[in-house]
Amino acid sequence: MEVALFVPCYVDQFYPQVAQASLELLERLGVRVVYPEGQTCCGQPMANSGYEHLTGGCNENFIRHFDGYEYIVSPSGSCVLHLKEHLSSDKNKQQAVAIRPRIYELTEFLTDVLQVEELEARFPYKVGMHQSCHGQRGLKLSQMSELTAPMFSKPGKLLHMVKDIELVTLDRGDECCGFGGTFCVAEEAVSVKMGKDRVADHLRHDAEYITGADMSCLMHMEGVLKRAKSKTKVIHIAEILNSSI
Amino acid sequence: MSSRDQILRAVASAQPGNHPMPHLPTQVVTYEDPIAKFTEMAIAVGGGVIRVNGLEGVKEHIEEHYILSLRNKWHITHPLRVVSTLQEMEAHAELLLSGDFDPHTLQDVDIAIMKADLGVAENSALWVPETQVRVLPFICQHLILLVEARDILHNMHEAYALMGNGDQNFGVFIAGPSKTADIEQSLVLGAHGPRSLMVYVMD
Amino acid sequence: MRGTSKRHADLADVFNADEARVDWHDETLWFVRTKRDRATHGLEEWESLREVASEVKHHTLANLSTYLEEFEQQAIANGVQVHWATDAAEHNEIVCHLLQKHGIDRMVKSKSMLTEECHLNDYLADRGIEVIDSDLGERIVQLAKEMPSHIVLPCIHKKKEEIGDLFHEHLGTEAGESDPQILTETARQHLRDTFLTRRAALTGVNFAVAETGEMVVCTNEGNADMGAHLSSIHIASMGIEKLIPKRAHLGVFLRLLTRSATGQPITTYSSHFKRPREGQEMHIVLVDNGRSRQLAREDFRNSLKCIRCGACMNTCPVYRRSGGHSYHYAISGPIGSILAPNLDMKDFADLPFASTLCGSCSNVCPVKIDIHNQLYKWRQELVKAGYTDKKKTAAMKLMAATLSSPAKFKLAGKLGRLTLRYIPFAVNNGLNPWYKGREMPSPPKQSFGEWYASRKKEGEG
Repeated sequence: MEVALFVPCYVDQFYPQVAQASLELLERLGVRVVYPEGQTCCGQPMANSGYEHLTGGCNENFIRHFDGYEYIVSPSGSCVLHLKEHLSSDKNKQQAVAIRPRIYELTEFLTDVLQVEELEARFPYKVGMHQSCHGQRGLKLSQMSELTAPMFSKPGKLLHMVKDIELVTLDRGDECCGFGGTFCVAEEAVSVKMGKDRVADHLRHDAEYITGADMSCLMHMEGVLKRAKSKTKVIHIAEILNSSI
Repeated sequence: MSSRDQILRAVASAQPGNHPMPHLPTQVVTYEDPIAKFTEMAIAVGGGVIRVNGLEGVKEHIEEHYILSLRNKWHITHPLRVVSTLQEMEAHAELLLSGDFDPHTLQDVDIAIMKADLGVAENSALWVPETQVRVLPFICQHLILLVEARDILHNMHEAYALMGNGDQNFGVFIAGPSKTADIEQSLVLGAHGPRSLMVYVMD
Repeated sequence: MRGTSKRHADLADVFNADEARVDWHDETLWFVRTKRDRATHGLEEWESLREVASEVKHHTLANLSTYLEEFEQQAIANGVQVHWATDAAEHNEIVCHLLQKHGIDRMVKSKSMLTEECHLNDYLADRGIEVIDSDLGERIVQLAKEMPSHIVLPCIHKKKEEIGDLFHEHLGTEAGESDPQILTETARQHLRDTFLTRRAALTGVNFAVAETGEMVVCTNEGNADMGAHLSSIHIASMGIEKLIPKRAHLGVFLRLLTRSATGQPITTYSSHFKRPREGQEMHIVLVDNGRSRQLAREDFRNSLKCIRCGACMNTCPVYRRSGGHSYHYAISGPIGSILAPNLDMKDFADLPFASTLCGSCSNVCPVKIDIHNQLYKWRQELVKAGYTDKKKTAAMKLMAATLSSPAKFKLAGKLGRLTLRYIPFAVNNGLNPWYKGREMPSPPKQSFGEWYASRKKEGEG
């Protein structure tokens, strides 16, 4: 099986280890991973700020690099959701339409397509799982606390396969961390307060690591943790699933 | 063009294409023991429920227990003004059998005794149609509602199905005593309407 | 900026100056959200009930003009006088005229967000007519000369001590008295006198039934009923979107409304007004005020399904941490942020951006309004219409140009990851809003793209 890896711009620039772990993890699971060089961004930073009409260039670049792949996998629920909902093109309409359903967030690809039932990983720490909103409510990676429906969690299922990991239960299982793209600077006060509150929930339950399927939220919480000089760290779920300490 | 026509024209040109009317839900909650559920919900919303044997049971309980405990609980020493819209309560209350008087004269009613057409188990709501004086179940300090055990339904859909379009000038679902939690979410019973509600479920 | 700005971000900044108070506000509303969860998770048919309600509303909006006419016809047959108001000004004129005709200069009013939207109280006050709000929360904000900060819990932003001070000043309670029991009892006595002495009462409308011409008003306090049943003239103000086709649909909506709003199974009183009392006048004012315009906006017409339960506010992590007043509109929170720009795009251009688009609002909405998607769409509309900051537009254009081109992207990365223009936290200094409360990510030695290229080279070599 061949998979094209989409590495979101900020992951490429700030968190290369997350993309490396995603790539290695997929390879360990027997997948051939291709990284189309020249890829940049999904366009979400502009679109969520109201500038979707400026995302044409990003869309064309994405289509140019990912057209034709049966599976496109990315370690970021938010970018995947944006592409699934908004990837479009006047010039390459059909390609855009064809690509949308082929894009997968990493954990859903592992549970739904590869149907992973066991992992080699070991991670002997207390870990809090952050449910990123776009992954959870947009891609339905986990059941949402608002709905009257059976509970499930795709990333949670994978974490339970990791040896010696201790997952902590949070007071508010799926509250937003307050990142929200440009919201984090446009609404600085509320964003910081949301970040502090989210982190505090994990700290109250003695989490040594905060993990999740979306690096942008983790980046936000990392900023809050570091400012508070906390020992608790953030780590992307791909890094835990790929770990072999 | 009148405002009416202007609005209707604007709405007609703005409204989306026809969309079918959905069916009402079919899989709806029912209870093994609707009276037990009704009682549980009535207590949860701050009311009281006593199951009695017919009207005689109501009268007996009011005389022997209700009035006494009401006086004790609310520290009432003055003579009680008890009114009822039920002929059967003649010996126990001042009867209101006509709507032809000023509702303001009910401002000092302590207890009103009225009958509900039906009750709903899922939320303990009781349907009280207008009987003579609309304001009575609101203006009294304490409200007593009578309901037949067989008139307690499972859910709201059943209630509306049974009532149909009715032809009542006014009607109200009442669930519990008047209440508010507007001050820091602290629940206080007795906002503007009755401070207490007692429901007699009659077999 | 502080104190003068009307932008959500600035007002929220002021609200956040007192962090303990933000925590209190957040926890109080979260408590309401958890009550809602308990009430809904116990009902197996909850999600299908939401679906039916959403469809009924869709059907109603698709046939709204017909249903309005049917409702009018039935109401008139019931002996109710029907008025139509194209906008807020006309609504206020109609109400004022009715009162003046009867020589009434004092009115009692139960909760009606529509009259807040129309600024009715101020309008009547200017014409010498005193209005007393009878819902406890509304009375409290009225005494404080504030707007409600929440459509269901109007004074949720106020602490009991502050309410105690207001009551001491206006209603003569002991100084320092803040016990909710005692304060509520004081309001009961004060408002009972109001109910008994007002000849006119205005109420809102929760639902109006086309086939019967009746209207349903829901309260917990019984204040709408006390006002209406003791008055000689009852005026009910309703937005035209409050209609439902059939009486049986009330079964659906009454089951949804309070479970979503406060976690109660139903309000204490769900009053069905069909005909006026003997000797009483009953009036209904049907108000458009932008609703037909919103109906015409395909992307936003679903917002007219709203039944005003407030669940989206209680669950909104931004609302809980910015307070209702930061939305500077009668209806705050996520739903208000969709409704307000319809009335004035310029004044309310900030509101659709006061969200992380987390989507929790859409999940709690009892009529399944896609609230967060509409916020996203409003952002696009507002930018296109030119109601956003020019500097932001310039930055976005540069960002788009950089991200559209692999070469520019690579170069921008090389020039220093910290100063990437397209990431919101551009520079590590005190002027950068990111840095005010958070640290920057530490820049890695190489990007993933660089690492991958070198790995590929090694593999080949």
